[in-house]
Amino acid sequence: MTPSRKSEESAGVRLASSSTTNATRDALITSHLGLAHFLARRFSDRGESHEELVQVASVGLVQAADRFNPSLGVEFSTFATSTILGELKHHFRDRGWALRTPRQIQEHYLEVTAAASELTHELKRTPSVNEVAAACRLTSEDVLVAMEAGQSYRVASLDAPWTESESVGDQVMGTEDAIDVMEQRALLLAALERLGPRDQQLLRLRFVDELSQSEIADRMGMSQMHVSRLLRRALELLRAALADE
Amino acid sequence: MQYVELSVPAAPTYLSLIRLSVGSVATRLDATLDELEDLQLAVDELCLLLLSSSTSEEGRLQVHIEWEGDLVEVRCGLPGAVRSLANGQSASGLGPEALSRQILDALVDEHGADVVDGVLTAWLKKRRVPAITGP
Repeated sequence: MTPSRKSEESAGVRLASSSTTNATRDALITSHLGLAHFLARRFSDRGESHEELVQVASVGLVQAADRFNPSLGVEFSTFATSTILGELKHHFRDRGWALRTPRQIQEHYLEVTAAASELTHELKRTPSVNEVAAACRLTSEDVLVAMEAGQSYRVASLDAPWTESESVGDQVMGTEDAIDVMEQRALLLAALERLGPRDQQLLRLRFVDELSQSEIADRMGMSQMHVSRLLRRALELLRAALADE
Repeated sequence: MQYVELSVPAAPTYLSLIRLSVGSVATRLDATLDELEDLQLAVDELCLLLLSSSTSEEGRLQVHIEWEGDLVEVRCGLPGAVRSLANGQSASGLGPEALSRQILDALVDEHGADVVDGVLTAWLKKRRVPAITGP
């Protein structure tokens, strides 16, 4: 199943040349499907079917085959492993389906996200649910359910603490309630410092600078719905961190 | 004035039901996704504030959503919630409540908490912005 290193390298070299043939690319992919299955199995306890995970892993494998550059001196299998793992992690992070969400709702969610960002561009404002529903030929309830499903996520681990001298905690807290303020500040600061820089920035933009989700989306180069999802996750993380304090 | 009332077990897992109902109401007002998600986030916050202040795990969260014109008002009551949440006055010294207030300040036009018939009730009001939504 696994090709010899020699044939792998020669396949890689040919792939790197501009005249990459589909046959070569396909050979690399086919010979590493076992790797995709193997890696997909490592995520099997997260509530998604093996078939679905293999699909995600296969997308990673195809990307690896497309991007592989043998002149960097890395074997294809090594390169593919990291690309496939990246794709699987990305899948869980960005889709973040906390429970097994029916395929149809996932598809609706993707349509809704695409339509929302297209309409935002077109209308120069965020669209209403009805406008998105019309564009996707879905009912407004379908759109709401899809958006709700898209919001579901696993609370990511807080094992990547991050600190910076200028913390959002300094700004999140106002100066009211003077008696409690020191205690509150200490709690919030400790909790905020356990969030990543992007989450901190999001919270600051939304709740301190009071920018709208679309304004944040513009500023951070992502869709409004993505901002919404990240924001909700950041709040959830913050609450979890506060509960731990 | 139209309204919807929900009664759900007092557990975070039922928040999605409340979010969907709020979303459905906001859709009737033709709110933008921005406004809708702000409202949903704010209602989440309101309910979590109550849930975190309840000493019992058996109560039911009573949610009343009403709307008229451009205004949506949501009231959440939880029998058994005890901590004083009076708006802007009596933070009890815990981080989560100060955070909730800050979040609600940014998301809605008005919010507060009252004791209604002995039940701690947190409420919010959000007005749709016609200038943004209407074509």
